[in-house]
Amino acid sequence: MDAKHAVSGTRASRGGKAKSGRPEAEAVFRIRGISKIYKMGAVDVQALESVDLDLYAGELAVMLGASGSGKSTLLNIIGGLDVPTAGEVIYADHDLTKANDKQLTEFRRDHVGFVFQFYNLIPSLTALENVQLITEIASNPMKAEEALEIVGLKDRLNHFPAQLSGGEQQRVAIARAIAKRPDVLLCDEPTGALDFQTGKIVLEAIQVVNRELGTTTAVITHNASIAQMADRVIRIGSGRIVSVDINETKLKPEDLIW
Amino acid sequence: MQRALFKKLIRDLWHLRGQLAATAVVVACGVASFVSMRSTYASLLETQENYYSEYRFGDVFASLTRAPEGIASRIAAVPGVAAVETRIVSDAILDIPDLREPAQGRIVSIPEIEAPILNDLHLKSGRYIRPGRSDEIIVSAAFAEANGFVPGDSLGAIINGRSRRLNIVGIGLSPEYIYEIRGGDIFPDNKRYGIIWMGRDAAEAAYDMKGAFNDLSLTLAPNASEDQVIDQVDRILKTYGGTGSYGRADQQSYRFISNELSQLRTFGTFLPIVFLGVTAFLLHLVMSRLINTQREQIGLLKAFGYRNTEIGVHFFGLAFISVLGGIILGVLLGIWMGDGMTTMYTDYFRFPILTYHIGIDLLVYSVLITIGSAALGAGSAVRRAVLLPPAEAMRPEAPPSFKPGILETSGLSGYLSPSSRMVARNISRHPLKSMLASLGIAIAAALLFTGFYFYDAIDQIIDIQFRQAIREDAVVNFTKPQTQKARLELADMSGVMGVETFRAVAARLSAEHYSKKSAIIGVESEPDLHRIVDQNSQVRIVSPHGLALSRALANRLGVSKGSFVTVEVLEGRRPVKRVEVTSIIDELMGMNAYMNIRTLNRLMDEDDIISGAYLRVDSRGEDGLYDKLKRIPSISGVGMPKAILESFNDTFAKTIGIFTSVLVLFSSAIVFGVVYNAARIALSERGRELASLRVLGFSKREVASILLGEQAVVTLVAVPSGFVLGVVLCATMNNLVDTELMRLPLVFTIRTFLITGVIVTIASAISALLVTLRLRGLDLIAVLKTRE
Amino acid sequence: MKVTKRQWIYIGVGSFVVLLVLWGLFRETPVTVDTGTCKRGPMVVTVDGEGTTRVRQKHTITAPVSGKLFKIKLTEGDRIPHDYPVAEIDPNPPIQREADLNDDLPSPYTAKVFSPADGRVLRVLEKSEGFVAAGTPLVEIGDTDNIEIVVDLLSTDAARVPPGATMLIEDPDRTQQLKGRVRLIESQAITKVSALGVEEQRVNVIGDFLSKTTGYGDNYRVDVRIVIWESGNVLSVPASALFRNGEDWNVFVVEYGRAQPRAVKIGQQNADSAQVLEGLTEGETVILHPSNNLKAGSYVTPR
Repeated sequence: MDAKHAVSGTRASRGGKAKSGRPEAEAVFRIRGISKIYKMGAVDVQALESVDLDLYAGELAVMLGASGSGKSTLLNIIGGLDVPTAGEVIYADHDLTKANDKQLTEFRRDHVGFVFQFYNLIPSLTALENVQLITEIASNPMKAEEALEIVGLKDRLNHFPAQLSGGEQQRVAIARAIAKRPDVLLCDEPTGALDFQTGKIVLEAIQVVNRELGTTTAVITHNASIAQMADRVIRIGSGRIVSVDINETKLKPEDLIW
Repeated sequence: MQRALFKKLIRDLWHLRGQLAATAVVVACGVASFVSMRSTYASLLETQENYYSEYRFGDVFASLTRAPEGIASRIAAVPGVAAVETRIVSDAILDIPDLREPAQGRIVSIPEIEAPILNDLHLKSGRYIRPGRSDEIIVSAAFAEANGFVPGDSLGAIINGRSRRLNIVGIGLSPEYIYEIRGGDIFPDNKRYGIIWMGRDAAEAAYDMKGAFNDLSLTLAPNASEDQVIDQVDRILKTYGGTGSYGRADQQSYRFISNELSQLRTFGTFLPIVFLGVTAFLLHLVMSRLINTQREQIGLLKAFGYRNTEIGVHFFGLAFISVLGGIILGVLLGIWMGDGMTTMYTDYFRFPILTYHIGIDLLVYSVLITIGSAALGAGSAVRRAVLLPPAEAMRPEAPPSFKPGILETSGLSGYLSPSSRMVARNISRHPLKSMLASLGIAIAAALLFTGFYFYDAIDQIIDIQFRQAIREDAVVNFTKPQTQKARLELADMSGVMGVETFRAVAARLSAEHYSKKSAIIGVESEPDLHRIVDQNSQVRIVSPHGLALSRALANRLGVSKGSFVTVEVLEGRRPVKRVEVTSIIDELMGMNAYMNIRTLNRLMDEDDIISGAYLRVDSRGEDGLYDKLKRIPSISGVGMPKAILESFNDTFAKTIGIFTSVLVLFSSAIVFGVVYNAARIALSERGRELASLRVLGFSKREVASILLGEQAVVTLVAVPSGFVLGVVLCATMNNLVDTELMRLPLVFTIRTFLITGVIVTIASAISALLVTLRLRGLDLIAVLKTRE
Repeated sequence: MKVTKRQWIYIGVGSFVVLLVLWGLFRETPVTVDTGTCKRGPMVVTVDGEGTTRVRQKHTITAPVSGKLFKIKLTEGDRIPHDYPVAEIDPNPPIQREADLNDDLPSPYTAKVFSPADGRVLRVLEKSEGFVAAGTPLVEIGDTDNIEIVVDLLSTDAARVPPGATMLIEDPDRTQQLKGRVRLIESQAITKVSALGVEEQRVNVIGDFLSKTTGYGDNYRVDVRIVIWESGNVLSVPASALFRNGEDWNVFVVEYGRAQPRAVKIGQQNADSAQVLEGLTEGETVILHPSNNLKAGSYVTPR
């Protein structure tokens, strides 16, 4: 549980630090009028309908919603992993929706860390190597071993995904995402397959990154208890933002119960 | 500093090692075929060229009755002539110990003192003749080998009516007689016909040709016109009985070897390109599908910011390394085989020099094309994945739209088990992929089919030519044309059971500006021993009027049935007549012109004259008969069709046989490689889906049957398509292999179809077995770990 | 493991297909052959030779006196009766006269030459006009209806010819067969060099035509076949079916689509057929010109 120690570095220079979750902080992401329609074979699915949202520098936002509500889609679009059918996403004066593939790739390379819903680990690489895959193209990463230690996988460095449980795979995915010390961290159901104890470890790691590095963090979950650690809770339903609430009091991960 | 990515590359390569091995085999075979066949063909051509130039093979040849040596300078003075060599050439009957039949030798004079001459002699063993020793001779290598002659042996010869004893002092080779073929024969009869080189003085004395010559050869100056030189030379030689000079194209040995090399041409050009093309196609397919299975990973890499170029390089590396092994193996194998084949052919053509040469361009082509197609295949798959937004790439492909199709609306689906229904629906949902897989297997099967076709074609030639057409036991040739009395005389000889006569007349046939020096063969109206059988096994009777021409000859002259041809007889009274072409025969061998013997006699304004006879011989009286024939001076030679069949097997059949074996070997390997690859890739692509089925409760057998069922259908469709492609390929190559001397019949036997099908089936069975074993190891847990 | 009915069907069909394939792969390909039949009928064995016709009675008409022979107006083939004037000779041609040599007015004292018999002009020996000495042969005549045939045979062949043997000769148009009979076989053999240059002992065999009109004249070349054996009802097989097996003759008989070798005893033989004494029955099919790839039991397809 040495999350705090592992995260070092000169991120203090990044933006103002007062992460109180107050709207006074600058908006890192400005999302306007985002719509997304999927063609699933013969059926058209409207995943998002004209969504407007701001994400503030350094905040920890939790996106809450039932499955099928469109939250994953929104996260992907924010991270430049998917293109919306309509609308714009502006990150620090750059319109991502107008960026070409190359620019989006550079954006993701330099600024964004992801945790995917299906982990998406490279099966032919060990846990350590999966993390190294990302640290090797990052400009100022932490050591891969450190990231894995943060998520409690110190003893599993040389195991292949096939040899890891679902929860362990998930933790590798998280280590992979935080190892590059990203400016933006986007997590899709990071505690989905984890038990209570392990889940907390993971949430703590996320929190450390958010606090110590000032990483703007967005976490998707369907578990309402987790929302209690967020600066803001964004509720999404049927492809729209239902409500945005600010948490007056944030709980620490170790205090969460579910 | 992308070490992790590199490690992934290595691990992926290891994981795919089975498939890559199969791919490597396909690549190796394709490249090896390409390199070996092409390099052999090119090397042989080069060797031939070098041989001809090093040994000063003549450009023009002429025979005449007799001219004084002084004429040589007049010939040399003809513009365009570089060098002239006069010699004395004549045929003699030989008496070879241990050979009961008479043999024939062509006596060719050489300078008494060794000097570089045109059509120079290469001494394989022994020594040159000593000047003044009129009994010393050098004999040709094939002839010596067939009879077991070594320097020191001697043989008897009847030269110009006189019986002589000749001593062999050397065994030699000459570019003029690479193949020693008796006039009138198609194939060499090495035991009974050979070349004898004798000192000029000795030859002059033997043939009463002191200070004279009856044959010459000359080389042309650069840019000289062969036709013009021939014209001039003929004019000079006409008064001396010149029969018309001819260039290399009509020189017997050159023709024969050119024809053989010509046949190899299809093996040396067309086939290798087909092989390489097939390899490229298969590689493209394999790489494409392989990379496709990595789609999610590509998406992931992109999601984390790997640039397109970085991803591209990674997968290009995968493609490159995958085929590298195959290329290296293929090139090495190709060089080794090419060297072996070239040596074999060089021995067999008796070239005294051996050149094995691999053009760098060959290697460059094979490497470029293989890597290029692998890269293209990989590249297109990568591109497809990389162009997608990463989220989409990482999403499992949308389930294909399952609408009711033919299977459902026709109600057929009711008859199939659920597994079979899945197989059928899967195939119909991505028809293109299934078709391409089928096509890959079909092409490999077609190549294999072609190999077996060649064996069948050779068998058919042998059957038609040597069992249906030529049925005589011996062919007797007279030194001078004889009357029918000779026929009676032969019929009377003990041991002779049947006689059929023929008349052979040297003539030039021309139509418009095309002409060919040929022989017209007069045959009996209803022959039984020696028949003309066409490529469809039909016996053809020569009409009592006009000429019957082989299609090859008709094409050369540009004539068809009903056309008229000018016949310029080159012997006897040399009449010139116009004759109608009354039939065209699709013969398998030779470029022949036939007439009814009586009609030919009338054309020649002669009585019932014959040039020779076909004999049916009682095997019990053979020895006595041949012994007797040996001693008859007016019989210039006795030929044995049995020997000709042997000769055929040793020449054309062997030539094609070697290449065909290489073809069959490699095609089989490619079939195995392709079939295994198809199955393995299908397994990779569908692994997750199949594992899910297992989790749902399908048994191992049921899951295997779904995967293999699809493969079985693909293969089942591929086999008949392979047959169709094979037939087309054979027909195409058949045209390419046609030469003047021989054509291959287009014959397809049931056995060929069956054996191709069987090999594909066995390949499928083995790959099915291997894939099933892999299925066992399907990681069900990994599936369970995945959340929805 | 229970096997369902459907699976039995699959197994059944599958096995059948496999057997079919194996049969197709390993069966012997039938050889294409030409066939003939063993049949009953007439057979003739001949000794063949090239002969010449000879007019039996030839008369050579010679010049009775020397003198100028006027142009003989006869041509070969003309039929002339007994006492026909064949030629005219002027024993005292007027030399001083500036006479036209074409002047064929006979002088009063010319000698006429008459034919001694009926017959045809065989040869005109003196074709042009001019001086002839007495005794010069002028014309050869003979009775072409009375010709004989002279054939020379190898003495070994002649020995096989029975006296009175039938001779078969083609007529000059080669449309019919003429018959003749051997009258005489000369006892004296002549040494000759054959067409191919071999020394031979030959004997003349002389025969007569049986029909009067033959179309042949004098000194015509004829192809003669002398019958040395014939039979009207003989079991024979085409000669091309025979092949040696050691000292014996064999044939391949086609039985139920397969070639079976059989030993046969052969009697008389000519170029086309051989008399079967033992080993074959009428109607059996034999393979002509059997090739060396035929074995006992080989499958064959008749052409």
